[in-house]
Amino acid sequence: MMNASNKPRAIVVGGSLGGLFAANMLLRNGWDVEVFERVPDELAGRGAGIVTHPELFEAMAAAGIPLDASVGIDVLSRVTLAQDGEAVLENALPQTLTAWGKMYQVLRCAFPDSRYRCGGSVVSVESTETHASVTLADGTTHQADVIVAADGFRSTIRQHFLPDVHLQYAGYIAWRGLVDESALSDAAHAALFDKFAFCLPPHEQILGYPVAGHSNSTLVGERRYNFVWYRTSGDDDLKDLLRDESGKQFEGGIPPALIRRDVLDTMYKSAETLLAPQFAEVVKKAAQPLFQPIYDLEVPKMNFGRVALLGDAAFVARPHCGMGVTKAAGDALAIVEALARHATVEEALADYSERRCRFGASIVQHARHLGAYMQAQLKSEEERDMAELYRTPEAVMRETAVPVKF
Amino acid sequence: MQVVKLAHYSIRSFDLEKSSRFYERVLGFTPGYRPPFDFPGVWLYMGGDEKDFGTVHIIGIDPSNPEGLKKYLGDKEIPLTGTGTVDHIAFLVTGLVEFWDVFKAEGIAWRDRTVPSLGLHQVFIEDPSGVTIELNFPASEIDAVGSYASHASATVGEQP
Repeated sequence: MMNASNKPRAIVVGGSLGGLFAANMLLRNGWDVEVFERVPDELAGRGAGIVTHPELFEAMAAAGIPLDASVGIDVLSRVTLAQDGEAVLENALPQTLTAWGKMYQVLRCAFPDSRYRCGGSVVSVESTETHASVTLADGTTHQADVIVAADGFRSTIRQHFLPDVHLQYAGYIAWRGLVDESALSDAAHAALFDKFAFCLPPHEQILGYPVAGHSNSTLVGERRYNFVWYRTSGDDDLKDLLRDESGKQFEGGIPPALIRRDVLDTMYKSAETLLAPQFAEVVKKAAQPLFQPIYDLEVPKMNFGRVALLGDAAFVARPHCGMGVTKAAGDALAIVEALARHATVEEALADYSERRCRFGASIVQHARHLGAYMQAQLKSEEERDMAELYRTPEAVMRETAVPVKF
Repeated sequence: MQVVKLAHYSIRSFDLEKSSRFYERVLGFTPGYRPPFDFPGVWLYMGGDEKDFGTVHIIGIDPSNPEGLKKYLGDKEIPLTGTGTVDHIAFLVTGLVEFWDVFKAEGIAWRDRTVPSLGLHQVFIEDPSGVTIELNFPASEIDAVGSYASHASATVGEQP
């Protein structure tokens, strides 16, 4: 595979976290790498919180990315609040949390600007015996020895190779948002801020944790608190949530600024009546809440000749495990290792696919278990009651967003 | 270390719907909550067993999918009809660590599995007739020790 006179060439489609992991690692392993990102401006605006696991930091070290303490915020414990705001269960569980923007900044800074191309939307992809290529919307075609498709859960490249694989809606959504540390009342701050916190009213689940603030500051007073609130939403309800004021219907997700006023008002009202007052305050004060429909996605294979799927392009697990970014980083690491070990790109990617499909399928399955309670809320009243009997704050606190060994 | 109650039995069926209908119509069971295992099935409840994982479990076996069958059963040969289609019988029990000690002392092979979110740790053994017995422990018991491997390495120095 290594050409004596020239470096092997890689194209990474998708310049979000997964793509940047792969690009950084390939670059430091002697590859000539170029990243094609479709919508860079939209990326920078996303601010969701990210749970870290030890494997994520191992992958960052392998990618040669300088790390210091400012990458995340440490919490020491977990707490579950009752609807009246009293702590019902608390235990020690140290963890580092970060934010999408912070991770993006760290990974993006480690990758040369000249190799990060914006605005290139892939319209077709091809793999032959000698090379792989992508064609962009502007008509240009770009060749490489290997193409890494890190183009997210609605991957164009996956749809090209696996037209029959679809996202499976799980029957519930996650409202997410960030509130400035300084905006919180003393009471809410004291109850929540330095903790990974939960509240589990009937049929609902909300959790929250501190993340970096504006300009990615992790200094005390400048941080933000991130919430994730799971709520049941049947197919028809979801369709309604995804329609803006003008009547335009979105699929899979709606830009936060276009979420209808009445949808937000209903959500705020529910927060007031259902959630612990500290969480209700977080939800109410969040700058621009957004929601994501929860999906499962599994592929039977991740390699197509010289093209490999990576991260959410291949497997989407529900957010309960908090493994999305760690999984993408692990995929990137596995691709680079396989390419170094095998004589041909095709062999390397076949090996990569076998290992990471197993891992991806296990995570998706594990996350299904953790989300089964939310999914049961769409069923009969009897089944909802049963699901309630089986749900305990102990299990939720023990299993949410912790590393899983498969 | 105690068996608290006989909990459920689990049967394999080539026609999940037909089997489930039988238990519903003839015996009055109600299908209910079941974790999202990666094989098809139904949990049937009789009332009062809503927190004990139901009383009859049916595992759907697709005869046209030998791969899926093998994934679930391993290389075990299974009868197609008759009482031999009972996959396992389950007890609710407490005292995980003591049970492990007994299995070691008696030379009994076992397999551990934790079901996420349910608050359930399962141990599978076989009786002398080859009947699979599933022991269901509260998840807090496995939580306390981590895993058999970590428990064994932590207690190795304590052996006389």
